[in-house]
Amino acid sequence: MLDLQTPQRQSKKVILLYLFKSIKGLLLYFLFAIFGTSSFGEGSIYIMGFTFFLAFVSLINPIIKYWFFQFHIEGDELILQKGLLQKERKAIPLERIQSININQNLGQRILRIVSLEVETAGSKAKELEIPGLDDSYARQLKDLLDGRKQQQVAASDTDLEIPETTDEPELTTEIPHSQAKESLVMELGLIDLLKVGITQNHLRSGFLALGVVFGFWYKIKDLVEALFGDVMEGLTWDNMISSASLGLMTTALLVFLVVSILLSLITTVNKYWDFRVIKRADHLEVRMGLLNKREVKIPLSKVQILEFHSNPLRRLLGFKTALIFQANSESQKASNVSIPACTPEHQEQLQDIIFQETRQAPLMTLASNPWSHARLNFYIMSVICVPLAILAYWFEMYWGLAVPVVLLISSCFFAYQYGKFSFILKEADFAVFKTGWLFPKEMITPTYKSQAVEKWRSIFLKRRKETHFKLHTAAGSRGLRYLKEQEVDDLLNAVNNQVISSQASWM
Amino acid sequence: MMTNQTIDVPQLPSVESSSFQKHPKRFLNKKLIAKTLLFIPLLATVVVPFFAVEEEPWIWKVALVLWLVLLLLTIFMAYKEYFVRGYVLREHDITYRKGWLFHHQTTVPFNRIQHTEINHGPIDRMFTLCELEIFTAGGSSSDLSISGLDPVDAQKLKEYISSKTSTYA
Repeated sequence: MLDLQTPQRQSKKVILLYLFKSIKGLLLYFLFAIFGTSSFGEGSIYIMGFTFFLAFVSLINPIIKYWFFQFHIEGDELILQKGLLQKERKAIPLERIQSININQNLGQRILRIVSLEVETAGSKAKELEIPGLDDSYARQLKDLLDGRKQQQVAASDTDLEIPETTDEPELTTEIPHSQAKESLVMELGLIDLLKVGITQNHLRSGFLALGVVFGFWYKIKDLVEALFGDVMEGLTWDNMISSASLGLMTTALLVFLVVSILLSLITTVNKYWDFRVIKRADHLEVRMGLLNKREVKIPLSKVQILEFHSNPLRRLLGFKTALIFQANSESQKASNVSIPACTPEHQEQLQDIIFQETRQAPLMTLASNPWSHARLNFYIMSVICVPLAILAYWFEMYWGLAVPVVLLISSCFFAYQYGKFSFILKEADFAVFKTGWLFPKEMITPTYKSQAVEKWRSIFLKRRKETHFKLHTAAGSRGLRYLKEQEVDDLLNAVNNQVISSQASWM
Repeated sequence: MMTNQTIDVPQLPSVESSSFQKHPKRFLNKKLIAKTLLFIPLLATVVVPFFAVEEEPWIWKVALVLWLVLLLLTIFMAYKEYFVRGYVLREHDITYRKGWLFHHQTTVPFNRIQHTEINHGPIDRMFTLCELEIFTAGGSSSDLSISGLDPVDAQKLKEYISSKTSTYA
């Protein structure tokens, strides 16, 4: 059993991790110092001195960091202490701990250590992190914290309701029993991952890669120019562009596409490798990752919204991406989990696990007015298209008129289709938003978890008797535009009355 | 003795049938004055061309017309807005509506309110007004801020809401 009464340090391997981090941060500087100082003449001595000083500090600092990072449990609180000059002490009441995650990035993987992340309601995730623990130690600590937390909660519950039947041994036997009850909800094999990768948004990964390349180039540009100045002189943008032909352009475009697809395949496999969802007593555990391992715990009561996204390629393969949104003070992205490749059976299973109630036929169906979507799109796109058309007309390039006309008509068509396939369904226990045509989304939230309901409209919609609807939950707001006012009023009142009369806790 | 009466769905309470409480008249005055004050620094765009570019007098004339139109538009909107702004306090929830160009109506049940706050800035104090803020867990998008309340009313509202929310906590 772990001894946490006295302050504990992390695994000694974490020194190497800190060292790796500080060297990584200063790598460019050291490169500069090695190659660039010769041009400084007399000043180079000082620069060399400063470099050695920095190197020394970055060697010593990890040891200091390791030595002064301590954690232990004091009473009902987990205490983290760190820092030599600027001392920090954090106390986290055990009952406030929302979830405990174990993560592992590449560096930690090599060193065979993991980081333990403690999440509380309304904390910035990174602050409560113990970055270097041995795997088995971290798991024991996690179980210990989980157990202590449940004892706390159970104790405070029994204080209120049944003060008699609190035998210590009974409690301790109960906790392992409930934790042992676990079942595998889904896991993804390599084939599934490749399917997911192929149906990713390739353009996004392509542009992301371009961004990274340019960012990196910008960083090392000076260094490279200093070293290979003569070779680089001939290679300027002007030269490159002037020598580019149509053939070259198409090749570049093809290369870009192939690289994009490859990249999304690689990133998908890396991100979702060995993906599995496990259901335990009152939470879902999601594990994934090849180089960076991620393990997320989702307490079921914290889930506010479940979404299913799709796109034309995914529809062909018959699966959707599920997104789980948890309650959070700031919309932290880290605790929202996406589950790729959900077959219809998986979707149903997820719904049943996350929400206790089953879905029923809708009591109300609110349809969005597609013409209003098209009209708004027409106004917005006109701002771009009309000047384009005028320009084309002015310079007598009449073929150029086709571009804005096609753009305007097609975008209006898409907006119309979006509206045509968008609905709000009010079921007995759920509010469901279905939006989109080519990229359909389905958003499901239990009605009683709603925080506030809102309707809004611009003055121009008043005489059309149309209005927009918004449902605010603790995990963000969802809404749909251009609904009939009377129907929205009914929906607002129905949701609101249900929230008022519900005794269930939204978190 | 347990009762379980049938309830006719159209008989369930709806927000639309309740009458909205208006803000005090001096809130309108405050809004109008504050908006006008906001436009005084913008007069510089008229005054500067008037003295600086003497050979092209049309510039400052256009600027003046623009300034006047914008000022009138803002004042008109602030005036219109006052009459659609209001709140309803019911047994279990509070509803607030505001905005003329973009009209919003938000309903927050008391069992979802986290805490409330009363703020008053310097201009608010000149008009003996204050702002009641109601926070939910839904983030800033679902928080209500009822500005332009009489301080006594605001205090009463706050106490009523706190007494209601504490019964749920």
